[in-house]
Amino acid sequence: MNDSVLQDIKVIDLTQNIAGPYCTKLLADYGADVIKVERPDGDPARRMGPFPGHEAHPEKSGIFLYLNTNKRGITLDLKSDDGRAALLDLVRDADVLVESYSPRVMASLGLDYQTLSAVNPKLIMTSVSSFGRNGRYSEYRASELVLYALCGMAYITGGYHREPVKHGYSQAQYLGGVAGASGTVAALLGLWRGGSGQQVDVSILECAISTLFTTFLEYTYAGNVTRRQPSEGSSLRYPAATKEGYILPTPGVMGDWDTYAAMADVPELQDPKFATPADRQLHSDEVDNLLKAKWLEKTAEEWFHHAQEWRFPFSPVQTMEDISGSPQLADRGYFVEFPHPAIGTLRYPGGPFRMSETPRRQAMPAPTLGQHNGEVFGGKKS
Amino acid sequence: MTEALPLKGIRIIEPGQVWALPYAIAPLAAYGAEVIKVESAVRPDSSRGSPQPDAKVGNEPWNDGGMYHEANRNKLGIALDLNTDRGKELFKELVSVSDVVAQNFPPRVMRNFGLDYPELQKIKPDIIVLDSTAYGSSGPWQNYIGYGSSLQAVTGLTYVTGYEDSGPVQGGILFNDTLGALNATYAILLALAHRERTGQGQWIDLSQYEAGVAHLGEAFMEFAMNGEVPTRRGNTHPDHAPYNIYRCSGDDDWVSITVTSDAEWANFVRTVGEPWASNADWETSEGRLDQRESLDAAVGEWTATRNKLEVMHLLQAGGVACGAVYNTREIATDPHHADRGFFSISQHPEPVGARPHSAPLFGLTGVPKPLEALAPKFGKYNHQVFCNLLGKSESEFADLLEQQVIADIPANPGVTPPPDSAGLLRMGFLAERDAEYKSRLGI
Repeated sequence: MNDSVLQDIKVIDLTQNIAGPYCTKLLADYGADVIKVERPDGDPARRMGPFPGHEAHPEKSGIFLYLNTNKRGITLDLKSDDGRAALLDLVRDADVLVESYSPRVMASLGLDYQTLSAVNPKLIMTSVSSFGRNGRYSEYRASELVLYALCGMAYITGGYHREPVKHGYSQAQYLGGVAGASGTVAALLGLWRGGSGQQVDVSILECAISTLFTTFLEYTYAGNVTRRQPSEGSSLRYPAATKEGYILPTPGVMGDWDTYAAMADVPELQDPKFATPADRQLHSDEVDNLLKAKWLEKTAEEWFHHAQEWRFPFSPVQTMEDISGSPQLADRGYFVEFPHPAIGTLRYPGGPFRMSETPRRQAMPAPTLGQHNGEVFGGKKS
Repeated sequence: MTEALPLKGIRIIEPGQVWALPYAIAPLAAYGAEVIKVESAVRPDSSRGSPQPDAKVGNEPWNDGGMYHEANRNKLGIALDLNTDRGKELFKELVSVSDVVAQNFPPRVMRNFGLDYPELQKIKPDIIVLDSTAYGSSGPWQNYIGYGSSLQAVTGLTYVTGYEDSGPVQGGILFNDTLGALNATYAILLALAHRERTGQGQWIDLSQYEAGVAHLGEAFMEFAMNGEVPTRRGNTHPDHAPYNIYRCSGDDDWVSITVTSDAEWANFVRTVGEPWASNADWETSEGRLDQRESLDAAVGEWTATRNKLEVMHLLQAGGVACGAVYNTREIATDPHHADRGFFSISQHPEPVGARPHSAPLFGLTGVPKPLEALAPKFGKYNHQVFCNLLGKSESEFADLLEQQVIADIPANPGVTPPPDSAGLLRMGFLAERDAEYKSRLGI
């Protein structure tokens, strides 16, 4: 097993579904000894797809296999006295506990921060929840779609005359997971630099709100409430159909507009009435007429390389097939392949960044249900 | 209770621009790191210009933009021309007394300056360097540029966003900038942890392309397992119904309702309390999925005459996951965020005035409150950094200003006039211009 930054850091992982497991995956991939504690019937993510051939199987869930690499897995019924006692035993010599329940659950199990820190005063307890540990919605129920509604992203995404639409898959959950991992390591640093144990509080909703970027500041600085945009001007902002595939033909913020017109080979766009972004927005129907036909002359891939030669940040709208075959990702050796006892060898996305001295490790596939019960409890009780 | 903020005593040099890097460093500054933001003496961070307060351009517009203020609180700002030899030497002197250098120029820029990791490591062997780039620091696309919008397309997110009957849809403005920022924060904290334990620095090569693909794990696994290319499915979920966004009574008002178990469906039926919902076919998940369309239509008919906030609070009280579709005004004024203190008001000099800014995305409950100092005006900390920290004399400082190696007014501010809000409203780009926004925000 090659080690990384967090070697010898023991993490008790009570998380399930996506956000919490992504948090502990980030800790495990960088060296932590993560013991994933599942309820006897398993993390609900084991019942989410994708499955090979679309046949559900608790050891073959693509999302579970991806989110739980490098963790050991045990099962415990935390509602039983024995289960709770076994957990407190694990916490005694742990460095970190991560949980992703709604705030009342840990307290109702008799496992709130006060109880756990009495057992282990140096413990870092990271709580990743939909709405955060306090506030009037803290016990509200959530899903990815509900968070996308409340974070403001849905309202600004989609067709002008249609219902708001969310981003594909589970973007808010992943962001919450990353923030949880950051909070955990920041708290460890605080401990090592003379501090004590503490609780880390992450609201997935707040992480999702942060992605609004200037849209939110347009309100707090100028009172402007942005909505889903009309189709006018879409030739610059939105994916444009090309001869083959879609291109995102963004001019960027640094590029010069006359150069953009030259790059696209549409000299009519050099008219002064299109000079600033505001001008172009106000004359967006004319901009669209000139550009939409132009984009159809080359493929998305051709436009991508052509525009990048001119230093414009065009990008192709890629599918997962494109990404799987991406020459850039292949050159950097991004994807990882390793075997799992139930499903064999599969390809997985690699890490979010490269560290020169402490690379992300790939030591173990995701655990089968209760795979390490003997190892973890056996060692304890002997 | 610990005594100090956890990152106190750590110095970070940030030649960062716009959002993906400055926003990554923001929580580190809030939790005690001393961050020196290095801007070009000629062309400042392009985030400085927008949005302008009340969409009016003041005398120093480069000091007034909201994006800049949100991402650069608690930092010391200097303006240094790295195209000059003296500028490069001063940068190296700063590195020699620092712990981290984090930057987001394309890879060729710091290489051309002779300020990339191999060079900086010679000056400070345990330095941590983070390069945040669109595509990574190696490979055939390494010199290609990308913004949050471009990254959304190339990472596969745009392709899987949209309606079942539409083309791919871009979500938000520069979504992937924040995604990259959160990953950069984590990478720097990991590197600091490693240095704390071993004394060793290192280089972090963050490709926002790769970080974005890592956040689409289940979509990639679908392709890896079955060779199928995931596409768009609107707001629906493959395993659950009702799971959608439904129209409510106001103009462009909507609510999300997601039922993910039979027990939650029973909660819905009980809370709605109307005969239409007690349909025996809908008691099981299979039944609800089989009749998704008629179920969605019935739920939508029920919500259509109701206020979105009433629906949210009614269903949540009954144990059903439900959330109103909020616009930015509704987020800024929602009482839950006030309960948590997610936004706090800072008093800036005019013309910015009082504005709310957001707290770090990870709350550390055992340390003092995160810092809330204002983002620095352009070049504000030149004197403190060059004279007090690096020990330059007053005459040398005057000469650096004279020779335009450092600056306190940008030669090329690059601030474009804000769009005409009235025009944008008329054309439908804005939902509203809220004349009362300041009183609503309590500013």
